[in-house]
Amino acid sequence: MASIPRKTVHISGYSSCGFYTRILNILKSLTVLFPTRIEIVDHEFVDRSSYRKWLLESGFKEKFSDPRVKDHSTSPFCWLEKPRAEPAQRTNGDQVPDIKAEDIEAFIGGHDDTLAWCRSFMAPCEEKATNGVEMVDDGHNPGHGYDYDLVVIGGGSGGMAASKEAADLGAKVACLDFVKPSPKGTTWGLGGTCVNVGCIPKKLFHAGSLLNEAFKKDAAFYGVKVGSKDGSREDGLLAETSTNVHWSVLRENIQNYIRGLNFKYRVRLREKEVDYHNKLATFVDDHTIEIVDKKGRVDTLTSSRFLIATGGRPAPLECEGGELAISSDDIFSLESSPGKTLCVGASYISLECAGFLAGIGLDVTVAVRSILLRGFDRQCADKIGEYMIDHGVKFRREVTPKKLEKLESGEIKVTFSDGSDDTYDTVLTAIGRHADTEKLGLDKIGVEVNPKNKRILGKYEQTQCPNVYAIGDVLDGTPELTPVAIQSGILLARRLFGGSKEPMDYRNVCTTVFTPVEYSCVGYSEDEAIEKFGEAAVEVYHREFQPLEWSLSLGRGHNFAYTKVIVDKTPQENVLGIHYVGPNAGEVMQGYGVAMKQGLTFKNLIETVGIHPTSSEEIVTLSVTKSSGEDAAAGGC
Amino acid sequence: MAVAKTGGKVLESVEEFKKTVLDSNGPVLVFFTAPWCGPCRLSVPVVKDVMKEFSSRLRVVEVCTDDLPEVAADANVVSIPTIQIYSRGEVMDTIVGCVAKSVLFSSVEKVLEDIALRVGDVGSEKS
Repeated sequence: MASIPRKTVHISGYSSCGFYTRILNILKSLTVLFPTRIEIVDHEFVDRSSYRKWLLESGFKEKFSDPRVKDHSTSPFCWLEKPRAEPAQRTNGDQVPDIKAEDIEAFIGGHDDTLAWCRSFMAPCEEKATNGVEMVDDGHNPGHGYDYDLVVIGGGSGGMAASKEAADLGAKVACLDFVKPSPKGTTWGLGGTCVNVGCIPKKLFHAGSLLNEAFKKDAAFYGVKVGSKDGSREDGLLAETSTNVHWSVLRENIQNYIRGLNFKYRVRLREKEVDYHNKLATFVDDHTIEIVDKKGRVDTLTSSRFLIATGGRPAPLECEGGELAISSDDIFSLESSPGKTLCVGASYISLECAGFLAGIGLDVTVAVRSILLRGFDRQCADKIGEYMIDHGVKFRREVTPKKLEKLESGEIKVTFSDGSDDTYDTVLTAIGRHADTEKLGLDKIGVEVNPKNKRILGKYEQTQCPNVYAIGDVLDGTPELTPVAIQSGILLARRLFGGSKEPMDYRNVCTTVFTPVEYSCVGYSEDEAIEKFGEAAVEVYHREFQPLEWSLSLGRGHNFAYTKVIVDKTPQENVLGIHYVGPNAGEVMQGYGVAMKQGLTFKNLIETVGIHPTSSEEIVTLSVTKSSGEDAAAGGC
Repeated sequence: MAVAKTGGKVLESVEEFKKTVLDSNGPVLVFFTAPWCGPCRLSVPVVKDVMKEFSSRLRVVEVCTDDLPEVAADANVVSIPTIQIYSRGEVMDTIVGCVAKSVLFSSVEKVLEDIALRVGDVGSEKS
């Protein structure tokens, strides 16, 4: 935080003037209360005539540029001196102040003006300045005459939330959504990435794979007999459950559910009186867009304000034959099972897809260029990798695909950078996502993007073109998560049309990775905490444990869950980050996110009585630190 | 000319809806549905039975909300399946959700009764 320079206030007046003495006393009190923020220089004259002689005849007033000085002939007369590097030399009892014009920062005024200045000095504005929002005035006024108050480009998580909130606040809103087909030709309805090709289908496929896994790994041990091959075994245990996952049924049911959501969102927008258009928008100028429907028919719309919420798309595989690969845009709606699959990339998208594909019984390999889950906690990322290997996923480390070729059989032969090769039925590329902003016409309105990922640069969600805003995955520097887009969209709508000043708080956002063993976290990773605060300033409490529900299943005997809490080494041990690798990770972490927003200490955590028997209670009963070197494996009850 | 699983005609454009439903003198039952909707599939045999039972007195058509979203929106359809019975351009009854055959039958009968009474008031007019 920048240090606030000390204010130097000069006050001049004569001793018998009541106004002068009153202001002098107030200023003196301020210097007692805030000695580092204000100092005063007092010029007290013995009587009215000597004061007036100096003020009106010495030429002193000419040093000021403020026009109000000309008419000021009363006592007191106050002004601000410019801040200096070293404390100024003060001659006490100086009756003829030797003030240079260049030292004067501003004329404050007489009694009333100086009182007002003191009030503003006392107002707690410093803290507010970091929390309140100063967006640039975009010139919006209700009688603008454009077609709309707000046009939202993109009908995904952020776009729809902002549209509905703005409409609720009385704005006339249009929401434009248009899906450019993936290279493979896949397209989808209203709702954006999350609903159609992201969170929703991902979680449903993941749930399906966990269900399949539960049957295979746990059912028999719980005495649940599900179509096993040959009744009971001789030793009294049930035979291993065999399963067969029908891709077509799983895919069909998930897609039908998504269509239902597409329908529901259309109805919702209509109920909220948001005009929805299935059209592609391009900027013509800062108040006009050109819109095109899927038949190529062109139209124009004008609006006072625009909100860009166009999200992101998968980055393509750039090697030779890369066009043979599909992406997350395609996997969830594939007509037939992907079969033997290669997932390229170590992002959470790649690992989550590899995880559920393997979980439903497919042969899956992941090609990793360097490390797993870049940006996430290293130790937890590695635990996810270990679990996935145990789960049957194959990893090819430190390779990238160099060439993809379609064979006669229809399979794809992949040659890797280390010279090895293999054939697959499907290659899924998940090497990153970038924003689809190239054809938006941003150059016409002076909106800049980050050249690395094409995401829009903005402050408080406002771009360089003041009446054009951006939220969600398209906005650079924010977590690419649906709830973040939704909340920032709602808060922006309130600032634009509801007179609010509240900014979006991007800190301490919980996230969860839905790999075969799930992982959730909030706050700093251990690596980030050490980098930012230094290893000596950070402590880690941790525990490795087995969730009770896994205890009966022999096959899970060596599978463990893990949790750690990172704290600083202040006396109150503020919690910097919480990490959990284990089942139901998303459900476990949500409540801790609320605590983190309030400012959580380690004491708060361990004073909370755990719920037993759960995995979450491990977090509130931590005791072993990494630095102690003690074994982190949990004991019994 | 698409024929739906119910046996009724699938309307394919906004104009067709206007002509067949809104501008029709006789009563028309419109079944709003979509291929991905589970309860809609369950309603198909029910609507089919209505068609058979009331074939001389009631016309049955189908609208797919994916293909004709504007028609559905203008008809205030907010969930599917929704069945609306029109007479002279007005909605006489709306049944939302998958309902039992007996429920739909009695709704249809009541509407046809109301129409007959109304015609009786105004004067002779062929249904």
